[in-house]
Amino acid sequence: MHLTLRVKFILVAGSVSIIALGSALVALSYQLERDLVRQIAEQLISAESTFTEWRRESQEYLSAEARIVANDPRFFAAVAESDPNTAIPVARQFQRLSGSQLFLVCDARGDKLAHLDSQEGVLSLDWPDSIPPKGTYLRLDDGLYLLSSQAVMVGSETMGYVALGRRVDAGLAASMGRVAGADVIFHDDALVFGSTLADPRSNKLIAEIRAQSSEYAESGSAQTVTVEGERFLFRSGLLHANAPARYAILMSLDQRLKAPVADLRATMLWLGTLALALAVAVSLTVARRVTARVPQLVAAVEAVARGDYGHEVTHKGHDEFRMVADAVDSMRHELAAQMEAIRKANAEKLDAERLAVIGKMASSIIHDFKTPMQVIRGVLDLTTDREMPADKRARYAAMVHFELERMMGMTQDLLDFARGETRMARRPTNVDAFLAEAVDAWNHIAESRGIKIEFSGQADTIAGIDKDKIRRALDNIVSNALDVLTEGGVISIRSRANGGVAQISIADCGPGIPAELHQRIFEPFATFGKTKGTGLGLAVAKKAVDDHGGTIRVESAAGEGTTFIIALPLATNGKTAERETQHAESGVSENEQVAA
Amino acid sequence: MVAVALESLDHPTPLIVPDTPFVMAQENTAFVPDLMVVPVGATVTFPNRDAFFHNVFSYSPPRNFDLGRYPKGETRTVTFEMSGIVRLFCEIHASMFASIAVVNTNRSQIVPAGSEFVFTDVEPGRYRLLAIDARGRRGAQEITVGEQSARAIAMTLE
Repeated sequence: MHLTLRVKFILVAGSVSIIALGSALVALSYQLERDLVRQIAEQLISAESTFTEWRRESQEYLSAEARIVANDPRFFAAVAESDPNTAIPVARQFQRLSGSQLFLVCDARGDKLAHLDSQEGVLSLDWPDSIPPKGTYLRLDDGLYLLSSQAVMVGSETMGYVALGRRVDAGLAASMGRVAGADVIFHDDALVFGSTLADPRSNKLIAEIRAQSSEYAESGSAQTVTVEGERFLFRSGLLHANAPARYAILMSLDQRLKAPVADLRATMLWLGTLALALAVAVSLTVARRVTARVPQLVAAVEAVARGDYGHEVTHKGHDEFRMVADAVDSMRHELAAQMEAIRKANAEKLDAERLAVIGKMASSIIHDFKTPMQVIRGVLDLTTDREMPADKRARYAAMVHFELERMMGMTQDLLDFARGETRMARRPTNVDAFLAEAVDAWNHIAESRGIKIEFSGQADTIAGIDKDKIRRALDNIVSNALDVLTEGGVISIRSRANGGVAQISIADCGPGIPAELHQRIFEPFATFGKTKGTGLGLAVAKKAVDDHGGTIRVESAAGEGTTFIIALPLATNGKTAERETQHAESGVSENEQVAA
Repeated sequence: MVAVALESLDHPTPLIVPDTPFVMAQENTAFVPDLMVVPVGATVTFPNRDAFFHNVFSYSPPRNFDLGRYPKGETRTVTFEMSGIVRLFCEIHASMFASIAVVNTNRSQIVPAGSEFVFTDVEPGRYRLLAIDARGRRGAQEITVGEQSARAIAMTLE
């Protein structure tokens, strides 16, 4: 998948934001929970202090109540009678007024006068010794009571005792829990007297707390207990120094953590969304600003690639893009300078080569024309003899003709090479007929030298060719063969159609060409010791064949003769070729093709 | 102080109830006197001589009563028809208390605690000697008076 720089910027910024926020959320949640647990532990200690204070105040309140009751004339008047019938109705009024759940009255001798509570008659006490004057906790048959007693005096005389008790139950736990801001459980071992929590949960909590209470006593710090998947921090202790009961004060961690953690998550979600949006917006802006300069740079580089060195890169700012833009500009200037230098060097080199070629050509022409001109002059001298037999005269005339033809051919080759001419007039041509015509022409010369030319035309096909150019190519090859053959030599010319091409082979039985020269014989001015010719013949032949889209190659070995094989593409449509052939033969040239 | 009374068991004689009532005032946040012995049928008035409200009540079985609260200068009256100890209190002032011994005799007197007391012209026969203090503590003893002119008795209150 190919992503643009802009998308990558956004993805990176978004990913970084999400990872950063996720990490922050995890870290903050952990930190928050740790802080909150510490705070809750402190709150628990504070709650326990409040709870202890409240307990002390409750005891004092109860003592004060007992004192008030004992000092009320109505009350001590009733006690002074030392008669239950007198004491009970009065005691009931005072119990109602004090709101105490247990109300005990006895006379100075300890004889019970009144005992008011929910289960009348279960109490058995030895008055007054068993009840200390200060508040304490008393385990009675029907529960646990916070108790406070007071002597009932008339003047300085003790008339009896009164004790007020408050039951330690769920109601007391609820009010103490409310004041302390925590859950409270009163218990003695596994027996729960009162709790702010539901019974099953209280029992499970107490079981867990009892299991940990020894550790608690040693550490003195708040401890964690888990019940039904809910974590509580708790502290535990005796209700009173000698009380037959303990308290546990608890705070649910999970309930207290839930809201702040949820708040944090909500806040982080908002912040996260905001940060993500900002990150995307900023990265989009940055990416846009950064990538906006990329197309300019690309256009500049593409212009250089096209060779347009005048395309300036516009750039602003002082960042890395400025560096790239400067580098591209610098490269552009450097390339322009180098290309100009190369162009100049090439032009100079071409001029030098042209001069060299011209020199070579001049030298070649002078040298090559000398021999045929000497031949012609010699023949002309001989032809002044009027008594020369006619056949001999004709042979000399043929020699002159041949030498003139050779000179004209060389001239044409030089001209073609000098012009680099590529203009062609291709016509559909019957290859065998074309070759037969040429062989006839070559035979005049060959016969004069005692050389035999054999022709075997098996092509029987049409090729689109420029007959003049192909003829000159063949002339050059045959001319080379005639030059290297001596009397009695044979030149074998064959044609055949082979895989979409017309193949023409010209074989001689001359001295052959060494293998190392096979590739070089088609280079211009490559005479390789040959005394006749410009050295352009085979180069011209190769160019003609190449221009036709054909191939030319040589098969030869020293002493084994030489065979040139030319392959020319056939005309694609037989009928068309035939018609064009007729046109060609009648001299009409409607389908002249020009190849570049 | 201690109130002592001598009740005849053999010769019940009609009690002489005085026409003028006995007076137990409320004065300086106290009952004055704080101990009184009266014959059955006697009437006691409780004038308030303090500048503030007082109350008089009793839960004692011989006379359970409540005179309510009343201001300075007013008085309330109670007649005691049954013998026994009547402990009196003021519901407003916890320090105020008093006792009235209601006896079936006219032979009675108030004496300092720990002191000696004398009853004269006592006919021979069986008697009950009662002693009560202001806090309602009491002592009782049956004695028989013979032909001798005098007899010494020691008593402790409970």
